[in-house]
Amino acid sequence: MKNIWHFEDILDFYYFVQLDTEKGEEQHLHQRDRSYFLQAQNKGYTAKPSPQHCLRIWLKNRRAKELNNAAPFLPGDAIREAHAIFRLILLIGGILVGCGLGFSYFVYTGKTPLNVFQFLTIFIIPQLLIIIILVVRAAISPTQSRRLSSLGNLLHSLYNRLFFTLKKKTIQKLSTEKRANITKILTKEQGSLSFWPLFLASQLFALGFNIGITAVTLLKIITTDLAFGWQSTLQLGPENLFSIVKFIALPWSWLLSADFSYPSLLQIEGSRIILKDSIQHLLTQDLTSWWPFLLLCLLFYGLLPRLVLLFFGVFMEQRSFTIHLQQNKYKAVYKRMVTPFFSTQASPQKTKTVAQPFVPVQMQKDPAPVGSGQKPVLVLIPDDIYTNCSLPAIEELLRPHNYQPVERQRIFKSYDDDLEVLASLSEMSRHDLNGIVVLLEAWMAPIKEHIRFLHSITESIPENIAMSVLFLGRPSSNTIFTPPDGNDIQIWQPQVSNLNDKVIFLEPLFPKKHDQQTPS
Amino acid sequence: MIPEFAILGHPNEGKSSVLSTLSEDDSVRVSATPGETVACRTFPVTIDGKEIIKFTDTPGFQNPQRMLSELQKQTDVSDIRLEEFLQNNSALTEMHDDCELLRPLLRGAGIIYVADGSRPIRNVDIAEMEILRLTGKPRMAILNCKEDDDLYLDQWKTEFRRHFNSSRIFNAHSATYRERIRLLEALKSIEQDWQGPLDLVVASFKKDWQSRSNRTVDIICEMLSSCLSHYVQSSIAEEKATEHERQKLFKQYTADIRRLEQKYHQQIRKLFKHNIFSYNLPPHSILHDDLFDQQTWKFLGVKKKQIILAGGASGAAIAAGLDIAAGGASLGVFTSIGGILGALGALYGGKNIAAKTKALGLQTGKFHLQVGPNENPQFPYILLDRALIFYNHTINWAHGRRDYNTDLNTVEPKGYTRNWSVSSLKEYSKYFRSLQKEDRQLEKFEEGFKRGVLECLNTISSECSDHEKNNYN
Repeated sequence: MKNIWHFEDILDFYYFVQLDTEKGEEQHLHQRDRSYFLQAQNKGYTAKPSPQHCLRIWLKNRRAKELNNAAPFLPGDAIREAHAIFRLILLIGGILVGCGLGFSYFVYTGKTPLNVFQFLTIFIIPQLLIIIILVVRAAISPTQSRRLSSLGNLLHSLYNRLFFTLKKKTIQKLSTEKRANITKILTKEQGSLSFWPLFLASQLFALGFNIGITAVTLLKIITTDLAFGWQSTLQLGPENLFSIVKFIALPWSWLLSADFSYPSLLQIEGSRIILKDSIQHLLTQDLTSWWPFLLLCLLFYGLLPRLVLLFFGVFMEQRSFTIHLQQNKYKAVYKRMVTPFFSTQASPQKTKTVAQPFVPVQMQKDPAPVGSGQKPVLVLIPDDIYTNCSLPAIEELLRPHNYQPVERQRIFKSYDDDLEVLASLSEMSRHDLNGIVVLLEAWMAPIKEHIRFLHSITESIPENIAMSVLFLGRPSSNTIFTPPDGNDIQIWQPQVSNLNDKVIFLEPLFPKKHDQQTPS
Repeated sequence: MIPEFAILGHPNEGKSSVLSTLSEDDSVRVSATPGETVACRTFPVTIDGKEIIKFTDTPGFQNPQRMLSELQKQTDVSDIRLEEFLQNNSALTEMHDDCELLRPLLRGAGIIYVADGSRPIRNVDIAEMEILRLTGKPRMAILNCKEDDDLYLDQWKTEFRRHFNSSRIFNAHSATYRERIRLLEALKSIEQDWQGPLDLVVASFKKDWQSRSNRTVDIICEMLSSCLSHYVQSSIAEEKATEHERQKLFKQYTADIRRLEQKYHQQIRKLFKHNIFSYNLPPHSILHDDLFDQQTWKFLGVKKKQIILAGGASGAAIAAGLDIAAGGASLGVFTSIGGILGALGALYGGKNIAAKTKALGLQTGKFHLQVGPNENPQFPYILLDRALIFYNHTINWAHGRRDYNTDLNTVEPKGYTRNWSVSSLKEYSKYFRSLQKEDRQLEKFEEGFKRGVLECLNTISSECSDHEKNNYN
């Protein structure tokens, strides 16, 4: 892959970088850009490509992707197309202006010869001055000279208008985001690299202008009878003028014969116009002797410098077309390409992991049909807290709930032990038991094993025996009997409700308002 | 075979949070409701698409004591026995989660057991640990303390010693980059064969982090460049703008700067993979104060003395700019420009043509009011401090954290720039000035500035979290 950047490449590059910047998905960009690099490596490109080479690879991929996404056009191509039209317009414009100026100058009625000084003043000296100013400015301040002048800005603005006029319909098909980016590139990004393209455009105009004048001059010389003379109010002798003419002709006099390069002293003397003497005495030979000199002036001081500047501009434009990696956003592209893509993230979740819908449930306020007296109950206590739950302690705890613990039994010690507990419960009759109270720690997440155990209890005991689940809170440093957190109970509630066991009643061991009564 | 680590534990102990934080993936569903995870989800750690190791999130144990009972009845709990267990139980609805969590182990996964160290140990926990011990797989335990209670830590540690090859404290809600690296390093100890891939992962993680830090520096530079060179203009009828016109334009300018700052902060957020959830800053954060608020300008940025020593302010700027008040009246950013400057500048999109045309002496009779670029020497340091504080919060916001309204009592630094040396500030001031002027010498000063900011970012990311400090004290 050749590492040469063209105007359209740079603009496309800016455009794509701008698009990426707007989206800002760094991970995605890194993954994508790294894949471009790896694909290029697999295709056998050099193992360690230069940064510019990497960016070329990147651009190639981005363009392909954009076109695959049915993009109506690539901005770079469209801008280049507009540029070509713009340059053509300027070249033709220059030719027309040159021709127009030439035709209006070469109006020879036969009364007075065309003034050589006027010719030089109109066609040569201004051009020379402009070139001298350009060169001096570039020599004094190279940086400043490469900033767009007022004329440059005007040209830039005209060019932008031309682009939007040409591509109006296509641009309208683009998304708002892309339209905004193209505008940004044309107004901001392109501005920074527009100097040489606009420099070239202005050289084309000047070149056209010189072609126009030269063509008209030649045409007039061939097809009409032109006479050139000179005059001056100053006492400028023919000798002095001859010296000046000889000096002006230096660029070509070494190449061509002296007769053709410039008029001789005699011919200069012979073509002097003196108004009081009219032109009758002047020889046609002398009057026509000027045209080769004037034509060569146009060629060497008008056309050739413009050609040189044009080629210089092409060279400099080519040199200026590079991606400056000092700019962070451009360097980021290169970095993304050469840095291995490290990912720790899972692919999007396919399996639905939503379990139970969380529905806040009102607590059971009147848990058991207890009547006025204390209801004798069997208390089932998890093994984890069994040693902390002596019968007197439980008695005191359950009194506010109208329960009278008559027996306590250990649960959740092991699966096999729980099976035994269930078996023993199923052997109990109504006479042995009025109710069952199960103590649970609400802060422990409900697991199926425990829920199923509760369900099994209800299956094991006669239907008319009520079962309550009383919740404890997270143990403190002093006691295990603390009020449960409402949120924890709400997590338990739907789990237990799902069992559809009407005999299970849930209640906190200590309602929040009795916090102060927590036994130590 | 690619090393795999299955994250196992009791429901609602923070397995998904641990994985979310470890993999920096905020797409992991984390919920306060237990049992949300009902299927395994694999998180491959890849380098250029090549899988090096993988983590698997699993459902919590639902029937630990029943499982243990069944497994204990077998004389040898080999993979074949586990397979048999799965065959016998996979058809049972109530055993679905337990079968699902065993599947990665059958594939040869190592175990990372997660428990909430802030609660007491229960029989179910011991049953779970015993099951894992019986599998004979390489295993490690993690204490993810969900509450600020270390009463039971020793109990857990003792129990872990009996059942696991190693254990660590890893708080999924506050784990920093360093803690994540430490956890990965610790995984090496559970199986020697996995050291190579883990070394590669740790090295790549560090490299990736460094690359993100470098990119953060670039983003900060882009932000400073945009904000410092930003200006707004509007046409005014007379040479002297009315207070209303000035206030209106200033409002537009400050809104633009806020928007720019926000845009670059969001880029930093995305760089650190906070994609889905938009977290809140800590309630006490100074970033809640507006960029142009008096508080912000009082507490952030460098001290007056430092600015003067750094040579970043002319006499006028010191007078106008340093005594900053809210509302921007004295921010020193107003510039009234008469004549053609603004009009033609706006038309052709460049400053030069305007300046040129003015030099030619043309006048259109119009006047323009311009706000910005802000040349206040304190301004870049305010932006910088806010970006660094934002970076600090971003990297320390664990991906597994979802309790957005809870303040973790983190101490927010009151700016970073005022700790910088005068010689550094001198260099940085040159950089800021070249940004304001869009100077061609920008690159010359930028390198030094970038080095300084990167150093600061590295210091921030290597700072311990409060939890980490406690763990090592």
